[in-house]
Amino acid sequence: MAVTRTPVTPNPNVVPVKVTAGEFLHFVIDAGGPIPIFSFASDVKGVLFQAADFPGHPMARYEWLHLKNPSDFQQMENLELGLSFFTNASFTYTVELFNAAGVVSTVMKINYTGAPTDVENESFMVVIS
Amino acid sequence: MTALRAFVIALSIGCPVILAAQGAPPGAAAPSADCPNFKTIDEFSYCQVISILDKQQVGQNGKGSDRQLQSPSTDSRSTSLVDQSSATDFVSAAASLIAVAPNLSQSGSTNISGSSQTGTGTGTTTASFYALMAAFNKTSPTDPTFYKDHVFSRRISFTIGTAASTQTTDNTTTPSTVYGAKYLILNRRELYRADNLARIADIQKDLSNETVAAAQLTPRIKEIMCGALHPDCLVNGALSKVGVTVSSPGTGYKVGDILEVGGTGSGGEVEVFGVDKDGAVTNVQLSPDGSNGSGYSIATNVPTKPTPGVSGHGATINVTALSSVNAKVFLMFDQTQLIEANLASTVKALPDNAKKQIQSLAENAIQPFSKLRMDLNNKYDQINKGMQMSISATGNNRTGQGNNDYKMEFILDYGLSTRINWTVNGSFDYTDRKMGLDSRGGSFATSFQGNLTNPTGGWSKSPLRLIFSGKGDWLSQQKPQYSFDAQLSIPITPGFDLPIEYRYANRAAQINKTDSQVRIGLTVDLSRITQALK
Repeated sequence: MAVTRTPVTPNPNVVPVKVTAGEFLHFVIDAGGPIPIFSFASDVKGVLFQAADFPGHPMARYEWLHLKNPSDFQQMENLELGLSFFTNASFTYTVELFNAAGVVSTVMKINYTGAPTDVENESFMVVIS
Repeated sequence: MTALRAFVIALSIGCPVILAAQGAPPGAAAPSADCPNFKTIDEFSYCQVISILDKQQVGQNGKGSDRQLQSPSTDSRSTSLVDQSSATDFVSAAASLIAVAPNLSQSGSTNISGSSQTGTGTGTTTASFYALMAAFNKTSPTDPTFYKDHVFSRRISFTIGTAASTQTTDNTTTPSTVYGAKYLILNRRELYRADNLARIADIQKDLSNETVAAAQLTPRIKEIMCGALHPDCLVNGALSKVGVTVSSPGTGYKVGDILEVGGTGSGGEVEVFGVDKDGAVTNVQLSPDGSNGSGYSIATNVPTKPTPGVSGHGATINVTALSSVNAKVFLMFDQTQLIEANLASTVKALPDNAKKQIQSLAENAIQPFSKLRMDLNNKYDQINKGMQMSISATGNNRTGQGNNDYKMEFILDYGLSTRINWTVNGSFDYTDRKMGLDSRGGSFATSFQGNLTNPTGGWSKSPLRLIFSGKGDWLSQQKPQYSFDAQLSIPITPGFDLPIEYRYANRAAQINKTDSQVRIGLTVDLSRITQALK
């Protein structure tokens, strides 16, 4: 792979989320510009978000929540992030576990740099309870 | 006369950030067929697909040539005979650390530290208007919003500095003051052109399709691996994560209740994730501990049995899909053997039939990956080969009796192929002589820059680059001068390149002798170094 992937907090592969206790996931993508291209998808529901969907795109930071709404609930869902470096040389992908009081923990945080024709995927499985 | 006349070290500090014009590219990192470089299960999955694409020879990696990092050609010590249309997006500097030997006939001189030499320490700095705007606004030049809002300011750049002078040509040895401006008239490599935005939108669409395909492919590859290495990972008729829905909601349940699923199978459990005010179940999912049982069949209205502590009753479910994987074993396998630290050994332990299964799976899922890869390469090339046209004005002013030189230049860049960039310069030149008749005339130069190799990453080493250039100068009061230049730019490490240039001229400026030089430079790209050190 030509992409340089530098984990700050490694991907655990499986992420438990106690949705019945009000926990949910907070996703952040920090982009190096000028035009970030990424997609966030589920193996069950297909594309959930893509960069161009966000008001204000292109931006330096993209954030969204998942599993806060009961319609998001899907056991053992594989959540996949696709990154293209076509017009953006660097990304930082952060996933945090939240509850009503705020951040519970950082699930993963990974930095990426790549060349314009590079693509990188990052996924994990959510186990809700 | 052939002489190794002077060593010139040019220090170029540039930040080439527009990726479409960044000469860095290349290529979809094509892992070899056996994918030795993966670190994560996602990279492993992607690698399986890419190795198939490689075998099918889908797509060509190719990139155009870089933008100018060297000193302007007006600097007598520049290792570039021609100028390119676009400057760096930010700030670049070129400094001559070692003077050119002033005597053209100094045959065989390789002295690089002679005290009699002049011009040591001369150099130029070029900044785009965009960079200045970013600095004045205290904004990062890479800020996407700022980048979007200041398209026009990237068309303009300014140069200021000093350049070496020689007595024979310039009537002084005092370095000149260099100032100049460049305006990019046409830039088909600008990302915010409508046609390039459409290309970017296509890439976004392709990426979304690829991401969904990867989201579905990776778990299936994991399942094959789990089944191959853990026989108890495979089971017949297990409940599926997408195959349990509420049939009859029952009453008296609460969120978090665990229910055993009856029917033809056993051991399967679901958890209640939603109830209404009467405790009727609105949402069930597989049990979080992965108990999905075995022996089930597709059925409706399958009864459930409360586990201890559950007070509700009457809920039934539909089994709409089945799984062949023991979810409990699978989750444990995923959390332990597929994490980065253990993945390589897990893959190594896979039997051949599992590898074949994975390959077959990847072949069936290849279309969105193939489409993305082809479009990335094609659209990159389309943007990178786009024509650029600019005009520039440069002045070299000298104090005392030194000549002043002025140049108005037209510059055109065009990507001939994925690896070859063609540049043409045409200029009107005026030399203001304080001690003699002025010279007026023009020059024409052309250059072909070809990448011999592809770099391996965005911020990795630059490609090995071969450049051929030719230039003709026709000025009144002087005989025509024709120059030919061949240059090999050798990447040393990310950010450091060593251009070695051979230049031949039928005559050197006002001296009626041929001139032949070997020049060696050093270009330094701080942005690459910074990235490499991160």
